[in-house]
Amino acid sequence: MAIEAVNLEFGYKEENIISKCSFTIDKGRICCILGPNGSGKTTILKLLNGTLKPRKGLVLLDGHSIEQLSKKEIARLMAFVPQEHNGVFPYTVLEMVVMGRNPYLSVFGRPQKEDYLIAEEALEMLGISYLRDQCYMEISGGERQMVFLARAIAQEAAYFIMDEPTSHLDFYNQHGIMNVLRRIVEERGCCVIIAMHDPNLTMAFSDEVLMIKQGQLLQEGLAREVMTAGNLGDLYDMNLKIASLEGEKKVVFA
Amino acid sequence: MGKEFRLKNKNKTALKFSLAVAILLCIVVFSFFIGRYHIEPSRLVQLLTAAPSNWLASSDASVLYYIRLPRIILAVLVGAALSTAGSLFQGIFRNPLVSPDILGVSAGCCLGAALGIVLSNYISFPYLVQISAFVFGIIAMIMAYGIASISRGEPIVMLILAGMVVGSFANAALSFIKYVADPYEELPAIVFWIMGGFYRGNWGFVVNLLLSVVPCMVLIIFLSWKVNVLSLGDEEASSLGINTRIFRLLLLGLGTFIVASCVSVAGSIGWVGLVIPHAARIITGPDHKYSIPMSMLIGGGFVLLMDNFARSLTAAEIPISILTAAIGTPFFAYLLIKGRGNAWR
Repeated sequence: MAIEAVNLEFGYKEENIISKCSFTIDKGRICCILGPNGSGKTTILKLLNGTLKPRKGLVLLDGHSIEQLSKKEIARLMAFVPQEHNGVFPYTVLEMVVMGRNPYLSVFGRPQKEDYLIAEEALEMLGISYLRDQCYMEISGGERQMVFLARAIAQEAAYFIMDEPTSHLDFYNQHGIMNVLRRIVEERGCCVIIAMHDPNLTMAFSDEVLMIKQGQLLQEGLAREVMTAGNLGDLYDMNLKIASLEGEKKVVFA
Repeated sequence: MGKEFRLKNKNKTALKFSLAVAILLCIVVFSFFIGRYHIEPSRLVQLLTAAPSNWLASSDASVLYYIRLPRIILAVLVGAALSTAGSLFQGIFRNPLVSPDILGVSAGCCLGAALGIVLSNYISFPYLVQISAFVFGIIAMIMAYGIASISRGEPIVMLILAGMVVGSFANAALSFIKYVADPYEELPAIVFWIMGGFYRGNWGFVVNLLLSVVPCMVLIIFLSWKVNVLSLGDEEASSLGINTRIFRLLLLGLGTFIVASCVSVAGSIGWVGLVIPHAARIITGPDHKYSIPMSMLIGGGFVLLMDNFARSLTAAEIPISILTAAIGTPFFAYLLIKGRGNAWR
């Protein structure tokens, strides 16, 4: 069971933003996508969840081409955790999380008791049950990111797509959210795909890494193999060193 | 503890809705006694339980059945429908300033009505004005939606802009018709029609609205929870498994249909669809599952109350849109001040 990208090509105008991109990510893994600003990380995520249609190539979810799946079927397999949210209605946290049940409801359906129970379990799993009746707009950024994660858990999807989940969070919360993702992957056997900016968080938490530069796949592989000073230096066009701090590798400026 | 809390919350919601229904019923009963012709309160039960064959038996029975009752039902239905559409559109467009007129529907209806009023001098056709108003309202929405679809921009922004374009065009056409209309007969008729009112109310309109508007409102209630998901924005809603394009078109279609039906019967009644949804959200919170039905109840009561003032404050009837604006605008100003800039709370 895996998500597969086969020869993806995409562009808005004539030139390609993404070209010849092929990779496979298995379940039970955290995969970080690294790349400079504008390299196409977000575009790849949008191709993976079907928001954008590739010019060529296809995306396979557990062996099914996503073009053949309905929005609802995709949503049962794949959850998207937004980075920042510009909603306007001050829903409570529970109301927000229960929306993750939508792919299991009929057109006229609304969440039933079981759905609310599943939503509450998701909150409990992340240890944020105390937020349940608060307005999701009036909690901290770190808590809000947890709420969206809880919604994805309530969605019972196997694949989590996240666009820079740590970029608006402080040091403590960055660590917190990555730890939670690790736990979700271990407890539920999910696959988490994250567009990332921080090579050190990637080094610490990710199993696999995709390096994207100018829309092309520069490197793909296990984090401990691919995350070298040479590769990262090529990726960002700068001099970098890998330092070892009490057995843990860190990327530092050379 | 969690369960208890939810139970309490549920009871609270039930209480709020029972209160809203009770208040609406009180306004309805009270409305029977308002008007030139005096109906004895003690006669009401006796009159209301009379068989249809006796509806013309006495003058108070015929006033009740052929003038007041249809008018009351119409006012409640139109108020409920406009508020429902307002609440729905504010959710779809994620914007607190949206009213049911957003896609140029009301402007289209007014243009259609004006055209109908002028044309009725040349052709006679039953309900020509109403039909023409309805058709033009729907055409306005289709045009706005079409322009937005072709433009390929961000769908919600494009819809709002296209609605403005179509609405302004319809207003220009309306002004032209007013300009060429006969200033002694047609012009006052057009102006008075647009200001709205239920003075034309009869059982034909009631049956018409019961058959067209009520089923749509029931459908909207069934779909109301999905509006929550849609209100998160296209990208998120779509990742939660909603086909946003089809869903939005369906909901816009339902909303437009009920607005066009109402405007073609009662003229354009402003501010109801904008303000009532905000009032409902103060009571129920933002969940559309509750806020849409609550808008319905409050809107019905509000328009009926305004209509009572419209027909009793002065000897001649005051157009109802003057009253709804006079009450609606200060209330909206109050919301702006109270929400400190956040119009949603």
